[in-house]
Amino acid sequence: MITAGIDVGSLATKVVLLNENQLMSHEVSGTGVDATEAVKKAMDTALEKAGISFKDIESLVSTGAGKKKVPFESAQATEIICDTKGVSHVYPGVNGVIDIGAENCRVIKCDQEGNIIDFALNDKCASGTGIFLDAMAKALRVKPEEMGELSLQATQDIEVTSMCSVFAESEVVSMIHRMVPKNDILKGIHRSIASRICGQANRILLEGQLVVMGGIAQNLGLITILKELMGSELIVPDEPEVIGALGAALLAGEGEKKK
Amino acid sequence: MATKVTTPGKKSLETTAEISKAIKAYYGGVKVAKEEGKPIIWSYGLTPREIFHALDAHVIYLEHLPLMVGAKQLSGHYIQVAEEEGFSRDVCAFHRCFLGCAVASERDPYLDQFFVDPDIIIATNLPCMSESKSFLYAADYHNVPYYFIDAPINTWGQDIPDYAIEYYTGQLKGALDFMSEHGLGTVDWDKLKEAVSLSKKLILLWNEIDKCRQAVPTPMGTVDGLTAAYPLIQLPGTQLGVTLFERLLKELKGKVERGEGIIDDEKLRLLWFGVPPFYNMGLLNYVEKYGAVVVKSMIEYIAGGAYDPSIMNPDKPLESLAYKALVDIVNPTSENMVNFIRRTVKDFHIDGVVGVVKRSCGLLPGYMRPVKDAVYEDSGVPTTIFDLDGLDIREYDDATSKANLDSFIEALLASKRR
Amino acid sequence: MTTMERIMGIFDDPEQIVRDLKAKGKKVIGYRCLYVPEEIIHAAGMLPYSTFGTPEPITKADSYFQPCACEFVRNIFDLGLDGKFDFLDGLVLSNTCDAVRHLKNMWTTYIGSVPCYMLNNPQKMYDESAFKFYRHELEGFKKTMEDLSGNKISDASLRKSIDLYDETRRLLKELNELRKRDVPPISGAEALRISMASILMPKEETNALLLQLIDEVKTREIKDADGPRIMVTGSIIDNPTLIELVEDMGGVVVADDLCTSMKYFWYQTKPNEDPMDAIVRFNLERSVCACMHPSEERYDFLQEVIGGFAVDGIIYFNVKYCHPFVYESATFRKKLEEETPVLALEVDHSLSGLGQLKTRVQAFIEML
Repeated sequence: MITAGIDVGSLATKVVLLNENQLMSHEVSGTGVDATEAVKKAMDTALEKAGISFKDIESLVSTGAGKKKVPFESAQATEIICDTKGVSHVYPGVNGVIDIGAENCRVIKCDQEGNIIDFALNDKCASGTGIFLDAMAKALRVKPEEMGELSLQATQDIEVTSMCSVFAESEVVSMIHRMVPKNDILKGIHRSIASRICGQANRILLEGQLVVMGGIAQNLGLITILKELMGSELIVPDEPEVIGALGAALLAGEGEKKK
Repeated sequence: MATKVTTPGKKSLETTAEISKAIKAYYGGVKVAKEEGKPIIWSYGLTPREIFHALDAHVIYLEHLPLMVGAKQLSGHYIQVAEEEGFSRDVCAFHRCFLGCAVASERDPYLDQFFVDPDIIIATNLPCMSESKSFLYAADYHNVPYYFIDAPINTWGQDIPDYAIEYYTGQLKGALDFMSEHGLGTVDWDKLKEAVSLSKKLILLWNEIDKCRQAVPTPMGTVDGLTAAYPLIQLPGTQLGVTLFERLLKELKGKVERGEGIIDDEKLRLLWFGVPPFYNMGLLNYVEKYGAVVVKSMIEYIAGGAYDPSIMNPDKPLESLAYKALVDIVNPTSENMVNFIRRTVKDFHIDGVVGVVKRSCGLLPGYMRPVKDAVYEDSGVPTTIFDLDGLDIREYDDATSKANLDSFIEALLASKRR
Repeated sequence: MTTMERIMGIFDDPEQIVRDLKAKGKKVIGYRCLYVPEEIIHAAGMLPYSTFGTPEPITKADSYFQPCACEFVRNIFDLGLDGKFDFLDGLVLSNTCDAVRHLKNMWTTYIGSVPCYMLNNPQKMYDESAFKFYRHELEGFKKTMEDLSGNKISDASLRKSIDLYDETRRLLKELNELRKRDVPPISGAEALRISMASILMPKEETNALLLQLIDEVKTREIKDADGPRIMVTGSIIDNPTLIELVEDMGGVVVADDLCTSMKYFWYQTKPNEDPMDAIVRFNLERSVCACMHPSEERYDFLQEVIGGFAVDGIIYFNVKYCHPFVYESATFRKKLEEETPVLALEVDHSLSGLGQLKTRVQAFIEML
């Protein structure tokens, strides 16, 4: 059976195609202002890569903040379910998931069989997420994808105390004026985010072997500090942003056929 | 800026509509009493209502008025007023809202129907010890006499020692004397005894109502339940309360016999722990799309509906009320609360507990983790905990609240399938 | 080494006292808040040890308490979870606020290693029925301490303990009186350190040191005494950093209303034939916390201090989520401001965000 998973995030749209739970193709593209259009485009590319056509898909599940914008007939599932499904498929037996996306951070605790025991979503404040990092990158005039690497070159520990992105920005600007080295500020920013994520994980007593997924998982600077703060073993998949879509496609395989 | 979508809760019973009318009539009556020059008391929700009957006094409860204002989505405005007066956002939203109503230079027409200034203030530290001083500000502002009833915490469980009963009885007696001294007339002991006897009838009926609600499918969810709990707050010791509960019980019994639930296909039963969003009770109906029903809300018991009726002895009215207050499940440090929730989860066949945290609450958030652990250990029933301020509409985030409920229910349904 | 240096050394490493005494076989009882009568613990032959917090960020406790619970209480619970209080033979709490009530529940449920006792003190002062109730509670507490220590507490031994503690309070107050001078001999931060070290030490030792200290500082004068005279009030402050911040900005902290400092020693027990009744009256005829009724008592104390210490300005530190103080600060602020300028601040117990605080304190002091 050929199944599809679509994960419409606020920044990136991900599509995964499976045949009998084996990967056929996947595609990541920007969501932009028109999520419906983005989904269509990503789906077309994924289909082309797999060499199949849309009618070959027998079952489809969508997830993510923009799941309602998906233009195809599909079942819907929350990110919590899809993340857990995807992670326990790739890494069976792990104790939990940390999913850091653009606007959301989720932590999930699961058992050996991949059943959800507990979870926690971030509150409406965005300070533990990708958007916060982007704002800080802008303030420091560095590329977001370089932030993590640069923070690892810091020579001293600086504390960024403001949790709110607006205050943090002004705090960072005042550091720049005081000639604090960029790398040190970056480390401070990463530490502040990591401690926030750590607090969220603490609320559900998350420990053991954990998978970090979502776009921000590629930020090595953040992962390094997170490891240090949590004292847990953190696994980062090669393509951490597509795990949710993979989970959705796996769920599609369990559900009813679309037609 | 988060989207704010609010919808009223959907009620399904006839009697609860009658109770809603009784609430309005009660406050209308307070307004009339004030106009006739009768004394008005402000007090907190767990001050035994019965002592005020003994003086034929009219009371406004600090915890209740904000609910009415909240249901009309007006709470945010009055909370803002209190903040401008210097009250921190850490101060309980209910207290901020009430104080905002109390000091607002202008009141909207809705609130104006019910709101009357006090002639006397009776404060207490039950259930919220830390909030017991908010009325001080109001007493200063209105320049009225102020009395404080001290309730010891329950470190004894169900077995309250005589010296503690004696202390709290003395506190109630002190409050009665104080009110008499300040022109509220003499205490009518027969009336007090009658009130205690009617309260006993009320709680017996409430227990039977609870039994009906344990039926699967449930004939009454918590949207109705929260209105239905009103007589427990404002009407203990009155015939009206008893009559309303008798009617409610009859209606529920009929539904149970006919097997009528509040939704067609009841798949999941939830317990709400914490303050529900009074400005958006529709959120409690939102879960119905999954075949889930919020069967019960723990806050129904804040009104004092969780005690053994046999402790109510009309011949010893003050002692009975003291006992009732001291074993109240919200009186901290005893295990009463945790055990009570354990029982509720079993009796009501609960599949999942939704715990919501009002950041300005000093009392309920502290129970979240012990309740979550106890319930899971007992019956494997999971609890989700997230932030939701049930009164301050400015704090509400519809998308996040729904995302939490969606995730929790999907996980519950997945575990039911296996 | 001067006496001042010795006391500062004790403040920096208070657990050295416990280690020494434990090695000699003495039992140590942790307690939280001034409504726990140390005298009863002492009379049972044990060391009462005040559990103060640390400015460390909270980690494990966050999965037990929601983040909106008092940070001080979460801090204490965090330390408990970490085993930092495992040296205690018991922990005694008193009924002061919802956060401490929950601490009792949490401690009993999740920290088995140290038994926890809740002393049910009334929150109403000058009330005959409260005296009576409290006497019952204290008898129960006395019995528990006797059982824990294996020692009987006689009236004579309790009387002796009361006298010892009264002497500590008298000496600390005498030292503190010196701060009324135009140029105080000790800074506000020093005063807090001295007071906290005195609270932690065995009182036999404290009293001897305090006698020497008073003599030692009599001729001392702090530098930079030109600034406005400040009184600090508010929730528990168990770290001199905030006081230092005020003094760094040019304020001269001459007095406070803190349970870690002046509130600890301001009052003495009154003569009473029955030592248990002396404690009952002592705790229910003084207000050392915003949890007590009537509030006027604490307000009158503030007024007395403002006058006595020639205070120019008041800084109200409300620790986040400390509800009792937050309510009184809203009520008191207006009244106090009629005569003395007030700066009300919300602070984290973990002392984060000091930068913003500094700016506001500086502006206040400049205004004075």
